[in-house]
Amino acid sequence: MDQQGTRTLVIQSTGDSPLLATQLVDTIATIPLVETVVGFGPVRDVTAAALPDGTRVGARLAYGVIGNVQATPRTPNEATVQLAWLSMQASRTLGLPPGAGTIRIIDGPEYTVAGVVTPPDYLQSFEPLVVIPTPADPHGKASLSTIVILAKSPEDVAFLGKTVAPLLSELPDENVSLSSSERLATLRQAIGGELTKQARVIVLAVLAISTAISLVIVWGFVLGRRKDLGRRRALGATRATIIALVVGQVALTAALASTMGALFCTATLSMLNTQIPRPSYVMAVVVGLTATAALAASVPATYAANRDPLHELRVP
Amino acid sequence: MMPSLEAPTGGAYLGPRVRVRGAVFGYGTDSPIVDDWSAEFHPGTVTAITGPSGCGKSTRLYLLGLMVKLTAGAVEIDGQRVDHLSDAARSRIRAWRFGFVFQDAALDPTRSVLDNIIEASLYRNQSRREAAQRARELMDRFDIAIPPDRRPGQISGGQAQRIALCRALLGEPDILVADEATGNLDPRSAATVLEAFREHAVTGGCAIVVTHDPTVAGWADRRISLDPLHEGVSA
Repeated sequence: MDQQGTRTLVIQSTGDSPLLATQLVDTIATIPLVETVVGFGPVRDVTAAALPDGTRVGARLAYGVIGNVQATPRTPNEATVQLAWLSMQASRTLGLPPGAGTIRIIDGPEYTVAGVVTPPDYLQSFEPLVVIPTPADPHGKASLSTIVILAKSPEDVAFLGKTVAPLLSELPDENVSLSSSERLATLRQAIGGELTKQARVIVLAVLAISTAISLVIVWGFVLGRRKDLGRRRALGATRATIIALVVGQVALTAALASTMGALFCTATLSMLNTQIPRPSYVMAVVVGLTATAALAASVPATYAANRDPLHELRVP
Repeated sequence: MMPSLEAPTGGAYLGPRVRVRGAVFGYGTDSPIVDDWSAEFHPGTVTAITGPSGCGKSTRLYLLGLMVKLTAGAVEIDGQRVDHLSDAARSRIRAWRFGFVFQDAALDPTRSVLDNIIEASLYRNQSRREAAQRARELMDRFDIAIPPDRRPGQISGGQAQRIALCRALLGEPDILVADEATGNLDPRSAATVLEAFREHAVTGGCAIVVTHDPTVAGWADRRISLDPLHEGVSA
């Protein structure tokens, strides 16, 4: 669903000439709910400069940030250098090596390919992507026809739409549209909530089962060490010392085991190219499992601490 | 008032080191294993508690060692009642005042000989370095010529019992108690253990030995017989 752009808002001018100025991109970028924003000019066909009759790809003037590319000239010099960034797919389509070569706008200027742009998920529909950074528009001029805004969270989309709409008030309604992924975002929230609920049930079930298994294992461990614990009591260990010993040993083992498990799972997910949980979540799972094991151990530990050393020392 | 953890010095107290008065102890609703038992154990003497199997010799030893709660009666150390104290207080007294030697050495097979000897020092908050130094001295004294990092499974029964003796003496306790400590030993190892008990008594300590061995009982300064036919105290 995220690939479908649950966090995106798109402003489009539908007239013959672009109506959106780069200043609008700059203004939107200052809104705290915005993760990133980029503006595109009208599509213009390009070919590889060496193959004027070769396959054509749509190129867009761009202003803002696109994945790994800051499509905004930072100095006046940069603005005068004719540079373009191509996605891997665009380079393949044009018959150019990745991140290199020269392209030419049909009946227009040539641009040197400066590198590879990796389109983020929400710009996948723009593939094959060719971007030509454009400088800020002079006052009273507009060069952009589309502005794509990425909100920080799907929950922010609706509010962001209400924040952005007034910025378009001076533009003619019939030629400018603002579309958002609000419905998708709402659906995502609903599904996310359901998944969270299921995940919570699974986590609770895992913790409950872990507690029961830990309890049985630690009980067996304590029974197997009756003589050891009895000797410790006879030599001067207090009940609290015995409880701390048993719980501490179990907690340490559980912490090591759950840390290793978390590292293994993270590595496996990474190798499978699957989304990796946040470090805070992984840490919470490790702490949760350790605390569960310690809690489970406290019952047999208390049992062990309250056993009669006289009996325990007589265990063969 | 809680008794001092330290053994008394000078001549302030001249009574028995350990005294038990009218002690009653049993499990559940069964008839008591120990019923109205009174005894005294003095500094400078080795006392043997003797009797047939099942008469409650070891139970009395653990009762003196404050490991069980009495149903009735009292245990005093240096004239102060201690049996009614909290578990933590009784544990501290065990750690500081008592040295225990168990029937089968009761060493931890997962830890080295040295770690076994210094184990009880943990409960006295004694520094590990200091305890290890004293442990090596005791190993020399009892002629335990094995590497300190060896495990109990790699040593003989006689060596294991001498190591248990080192553990009991590490904290320089003034009350040394042994539960059939020589029962499974060869004569030489048994003699070493008994000599250590004698030396402990000669230097002012109080030694209490549970045994069913008439030779060991005869060697002690005093005997407390629990045999129904010969019950009583003899010197």
